[in-house]
Amino acid sequence: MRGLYLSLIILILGCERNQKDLNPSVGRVIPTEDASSRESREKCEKKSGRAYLDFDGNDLSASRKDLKQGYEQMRLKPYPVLKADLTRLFKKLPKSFATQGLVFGQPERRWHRLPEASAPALFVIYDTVLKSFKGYTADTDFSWSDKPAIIEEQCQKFVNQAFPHSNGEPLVKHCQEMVQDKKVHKDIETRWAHAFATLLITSQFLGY
Amino acid sequence: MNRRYFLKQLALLSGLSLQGPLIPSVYARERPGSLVLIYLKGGYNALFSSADSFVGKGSFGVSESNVLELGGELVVDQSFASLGEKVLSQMATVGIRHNRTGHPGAQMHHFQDDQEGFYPLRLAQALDGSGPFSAVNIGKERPTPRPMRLFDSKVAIQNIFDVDPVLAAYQSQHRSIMAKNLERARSLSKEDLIRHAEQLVSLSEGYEAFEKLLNESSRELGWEGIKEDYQVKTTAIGQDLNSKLAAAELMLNVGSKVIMVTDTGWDTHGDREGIRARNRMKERILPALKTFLNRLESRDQKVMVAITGDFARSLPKSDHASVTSATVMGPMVRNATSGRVSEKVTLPEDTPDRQGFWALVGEALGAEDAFIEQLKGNPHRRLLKT
Repeated sequence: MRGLYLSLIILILGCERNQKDLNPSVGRVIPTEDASSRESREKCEKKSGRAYLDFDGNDLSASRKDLKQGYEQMRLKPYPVLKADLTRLFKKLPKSFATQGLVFGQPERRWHRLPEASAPALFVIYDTVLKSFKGYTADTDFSWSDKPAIIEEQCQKFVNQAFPHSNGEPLVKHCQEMVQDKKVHKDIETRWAHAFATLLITSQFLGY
Repeated sequence: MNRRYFLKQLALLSGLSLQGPLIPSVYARERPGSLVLIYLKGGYNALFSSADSFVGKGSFGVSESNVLELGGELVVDQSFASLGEKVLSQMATVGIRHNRTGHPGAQMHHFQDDQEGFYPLRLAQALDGSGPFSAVNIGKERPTPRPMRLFDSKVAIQNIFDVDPVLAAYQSQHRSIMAKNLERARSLSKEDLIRHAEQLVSLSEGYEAFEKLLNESSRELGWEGIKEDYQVKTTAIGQDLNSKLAAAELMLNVGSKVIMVTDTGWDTHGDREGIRARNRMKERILPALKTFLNRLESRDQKVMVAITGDFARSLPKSDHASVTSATVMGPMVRNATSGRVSEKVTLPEDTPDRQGFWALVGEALGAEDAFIEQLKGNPHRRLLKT
């Protein structure tokens, strides 16, 4: 019985230690969260699965990071995906963006490399939206009214189109604030353009 | 004051028997400079930086007729003559005894320390690299197989593939609105940046750099003049050194502290006579480098240029040696060598590893003392002018 208790304590301590090791970015501020018991159990259960060993008996999965569920799953969109998304939103893509594959580190054909963001890449997206914004407003029933209800409706519509998989509520709220803030610019058209550009440099748009 | 105290002070002042940052060179007190590092991926044949090592047996096709004696026991390949007398008088060779003969291992070893992280980023930080582009990699090619990154520092490498967005960003009329809205975009992304910190680290770094860029004053970066002198037609950075060094000069105008430029194709196996390496140096590196160094002369900026690579090439078949004999150039450098290889392309046992190289660069460019202290001092001080 004592052996059983001891094993349980070791198991719990083992899980506890892994929780602390989760932070993959040493030095960056990661908020501590209370791990649910379900997640802890799943993490430990994974360890008891089949071991994959090499010829020397070393565990091939030993170097895998033990990450918490829902963490480190997001990836940045590759350049062709961004191109397609922007074309879908603005009907037509400006030539300037069509030739910016290099800025996004687009790899050669048949070559895989995870995309990386950078200050120039963020600028290019923002600038592209400013240039192609009219493609969005020229279409359909876009209104330049500054009535809050209409602004909210149009922000909602844009967010639904640009962020089909995200929680749109905070995005809509920020969109409204930016369009309504006359201190930013007196011209409502400019405010709309900047509001959309801002939303499109968020992680929700740049990642998936 | 007793006699011992007096002698100690005298030794301190004259720099006798002392290494490390206790007696910084005169350059350390000026405004910190910048490093432009040309990395030859595959290897940097010591026939260029330690030519006299091969004269006796004619290895790598080296003979008395194709070497250049610069003084201070420094002998380099004749092809370097095209860089001009002034550049040659400010050139030295640095020995790096790293004991690595595999490409990825050597590449990582040159730039990374298990404890301290990546040297170029630490250096940029120590050179007051608070600007948006304090450390940059120019072009698609990178010196290391994995991206360089420090998680505990605000210095991050920004990859520059095309200078157009850099030029446009510095001249955009929307900068002030962009700066304000960027804060909003960051706050909207905060949760993702935390939950997916490792996967989205380049986005975090991108926001940081973009914010710094937008907070800088709008300015003209002199691209037209650069473009003309380097004869580059577009803003896109190709595989040639011309467009890379043109971009490097632009990044110096932006305030970059560490600029990395990589040229591939230097794994010259079977190049027994050194013909391929020499041709490559003459065709790909030296013409662009000459333009860069000539233009540098008119700048009031302290810049060191270094040429290095995975390792020197071994004999007889130009395979992998276990040391690198790097070249450094700049007004703070004098003709001298700490990287004279033996006939068998080895370096003496007491030759420092890559820390020595980074300490030398750090001291020459006026990095913070802490950087040089971490590297246990600069063992190559005699390569610097005092």
